[in-house]
Amino acid sequence: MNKLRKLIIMDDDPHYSGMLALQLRMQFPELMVSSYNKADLPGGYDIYVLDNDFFGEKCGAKLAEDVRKIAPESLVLVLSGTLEFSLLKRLVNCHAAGVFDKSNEDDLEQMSALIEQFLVRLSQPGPQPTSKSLSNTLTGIRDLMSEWNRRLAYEEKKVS
Amino acid sequence: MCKTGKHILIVEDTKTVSMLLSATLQREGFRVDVADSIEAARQLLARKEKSQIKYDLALVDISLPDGNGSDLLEELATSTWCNIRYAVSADSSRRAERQALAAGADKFIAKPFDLKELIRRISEEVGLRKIVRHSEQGESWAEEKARLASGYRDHLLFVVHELKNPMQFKALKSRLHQLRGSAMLYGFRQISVLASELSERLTEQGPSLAEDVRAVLCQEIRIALSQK
Repeated sequence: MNKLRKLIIMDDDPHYSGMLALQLRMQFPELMVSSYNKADLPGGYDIYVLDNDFFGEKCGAKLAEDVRKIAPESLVLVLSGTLEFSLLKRLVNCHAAGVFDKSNEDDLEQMSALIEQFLVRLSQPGPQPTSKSLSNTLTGIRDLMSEWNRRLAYEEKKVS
Repeated sequence: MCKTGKHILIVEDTKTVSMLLSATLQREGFRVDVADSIEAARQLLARKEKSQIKYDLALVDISLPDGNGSDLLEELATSTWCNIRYAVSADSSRRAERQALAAGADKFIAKPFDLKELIRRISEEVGLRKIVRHSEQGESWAEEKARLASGYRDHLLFVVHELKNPMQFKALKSRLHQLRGSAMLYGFRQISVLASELSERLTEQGPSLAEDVRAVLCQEIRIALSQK
């Protein structure tokens, strides 16, 4: 029997997390999807989708760091409208897989693709590459840097 | 007599514990089935499957005479015959808790437990399940989507009402951040784009712009609701 995989969405807006949960369940019926609208961290999940903004407080990086302590092998995805250097640095350090704009459909598609890759990897027999491996760290840094550059290019385009 | 309409499965091999739990839950109006092994639980589940009635909650002891309760939790989590699963164990370590949650338990209860508190939790969980857990409820995806969309319209009406009155700068920023994400998911793209723009302007110009932001947002939400 395949082990049941669990995903949790941590967002202060239950309307957002409710609809995102439905979309993810439609896309990944094998995944158990829950949501939580407080910023204290429940353990025991394979995938964490964390909102950076909880009632006006930027706590995505802190949550991502805490997830690494209680679930070191999990996939950590962060939702944020902005990507400041301090956030990027902390996310790279705690091996977050990506930062996505919650109001951008393309970003949410990219996030789904990462979830799919993670689930496929978990379903394969043999030892699983851990999220702390060097290759994963490099991939994470590369993805986050390209995301940061993309955001900067977008901001510059808006200014000009 | 089952006054609540809720069915509970207890999988526990210590007779005194299962009898106490069963009697207390029945007194609270739950219908209770007790199994003293994994095999006995499987037989009860097979019987439930035939009668098309689900268990609303299962309390599963991790240490059972014919195996590990985690195996049963996994089976329950992948089936549609039990909505909520509680793991019960005498081992209260973080490791035991993590293993039980990874196997599909929604909550981990360490022995010895406070019976009154456990009953309160069960009653609350069975009642609050729809808010927290987005999983099999016998509701189709289309029905769930319609329910969420209807709830979101009500939420937008509440936001309109909220925006009529002054609010803290931080609360307004947080509301714009929420609308930016949720409005896009519910197909109110114009509200999402507007919330994003207003959030940026508010950051640049500060609280002096708050009243204008509230007025513009209030008007646009009203228009969007009338068009959809």
